[in-house]
This record gives sequence, structure tokens and C-alpha cells, in this order.
Amino acid sequence: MKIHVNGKHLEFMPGVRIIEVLQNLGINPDRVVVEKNGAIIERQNYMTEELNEGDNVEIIMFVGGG
Amino acid sequence: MKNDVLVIGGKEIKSRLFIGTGKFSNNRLIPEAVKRSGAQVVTVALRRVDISSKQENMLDFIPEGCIIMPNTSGAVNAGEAIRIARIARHLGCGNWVKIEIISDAKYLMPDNYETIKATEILAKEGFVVLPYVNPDLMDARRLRDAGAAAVMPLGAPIGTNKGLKTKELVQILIEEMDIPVIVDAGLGKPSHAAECMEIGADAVLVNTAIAVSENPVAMAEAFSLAVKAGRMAYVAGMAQEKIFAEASSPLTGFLSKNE
Repeated sequence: MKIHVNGKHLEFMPGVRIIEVLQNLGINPDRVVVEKNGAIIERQNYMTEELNEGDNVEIIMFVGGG
Repeated sequence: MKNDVLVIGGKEIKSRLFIGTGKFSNNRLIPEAVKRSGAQVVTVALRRVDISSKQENMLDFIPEGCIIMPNTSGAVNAGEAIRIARIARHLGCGNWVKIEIISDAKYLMPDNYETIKATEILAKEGFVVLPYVNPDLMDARRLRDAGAAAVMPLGAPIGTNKGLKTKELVQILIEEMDIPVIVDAGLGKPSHAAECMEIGADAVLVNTAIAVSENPVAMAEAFSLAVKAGRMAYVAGMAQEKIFAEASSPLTGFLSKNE
């Protein structure tokens, strides 16, 4: 199934959990915030929150800024 | 100077120089620049993780003990700024936020109207809100009433290094506002920062001028010294400007003068 991650289409198994997507992308879950379809997902739910076809995921971090 | 303390959001802020972390040629310069600047308040931005390449995490470069103030850059309206602020708070680095709402790409002028709307909501949600604004007294009052912890008027457009071009208007805010006034944006040299402090600004926020210097670490210290000097002069009380000359040496007892 296809999900949108930070504007890119990625292929994952249906029901994939957020933690698995992060691990797959090599992202430290403690350093990012994940939004699913515009709603922030609490970090303690990364293990259980499943993703489905067409879901929109944003993974956000701090960068340099003024 | 002993009791000259800046308090924002219930916190005593020991340095009146706030610094930004954008535009550094190498993130490894940031920890030393922050340290040498003495800054306690450090701004960051939020962006999408680049999922196609490994990215450095800004939190690895900010010394411990700093207050992290995420900005809402990228937001063009109140709704987007609120969304970014909430995401920032979920990153677990406190509840400070610099509201920055800009839809003008040429001069990067802040949108005061949207900023007031965002401030109202975020202050109610418990954020310590520091809005980046055009120095307008009425809007500054609206922001204070909406719960802003300080106001951050621009000195000149972001990244222009032109200095305190808005001096007259910023001065009015300093005189009239009972919340801290922090000059943000456009300060290009330590003397610009000193000027802000001399007229009574509570603090300044500097990013570009430090980050793009050939030696950002030394420039960070130069700004720190300028901010301290300017503040010390303001507190000490400055001599008045005069139209005509007034001799510094005594006008009596000149040599070779006969009665």
C-alpha cells in the first residue's frame, strides 16, 4: 500500500506501525514529531498506531533557524 | 546592575543577547558560538525530516541549560503558526515559541494581524509567546492583552544587516510597553545591538550577523560585549546631546593670562 511521508509516496505493508516506518527510514523516534493526517501522534503510541492506504504522514524535526 | 534582571515567562534570563541557529556554514560552530555569546535563549526552526538523506539534529548542537525557542517560520497565517507551535512543544523542549508569520517573500515583513490571532490562542494553551512584529504600538498592546510574554519588533528586514532602522517606533514601544521589548532581525553589527540596548531595549535577537561572519565564534562574543556595554550605559544613564560645545576641561586658570 502507498502512504505519503513528508510529501513522498512510500510503499509499506498495510497496518504498518509508525515506529516501523521510523525505523525503516533510520529516524530516531525521540527526536521527531509525527503527524498522521494532520493530527499529532503521541510518542507513546508509535508502537501501536497503524497506518493505512493513503495516510498522510509528516515527520518533523528541529533545524537551524532565527 | 545588580538587580537588573530580565524576566520572561517567569524565568530569569541572564543574557540579553538571544541568538539564532540558522545559516551557520557548519553546525559544529554552533555550540562554541552559543557559549561565547553567553546566550541563554536560542532559536530553532521546524522542518520536515529529509527522508532521503541522513540529517543532523539541531538539538545535538545546543548546549545544555539553554532555553530553546522554536520559531514558526514557514507559517503564512495564524493556523499554520499554531500547528507548528504545537508540534514544537511535542518535541519536549519547553513551551517557548517565537511566532513568525510571513507571507511577504520580498521583505519578509511580519503579519501583525495573524500574529495577534495566533498569540491569543497559544498564550491560552500555556505557551510563552514571543511574537515577531512590525513595531506598531497599538498592535503591541493587542499582543500584550492577548498574553504575549514580550514583543519582538524588527530593527530592519530579516537578514539585511541594516541595523535599527525602526528606531523611532521601537523607542515608542520601549517607553509605553510594560512587557519586554526585544529587537529582532536586521542587526548586522555589534554597534547596532549596542544602540538597541542604549535606548532601553530589554534584549536583542541576532542570527545572520553572527552565523555568516568569517568567524562566528568571535562575532558571537563581540555581540555579547556590545549588548552588555549598551545595557550598562542605559542603566547608568546617558549624557544629554547638546547643540553647542561644552568644554571638558576647566575654563579658569589658563596659563599666561594676566588680570
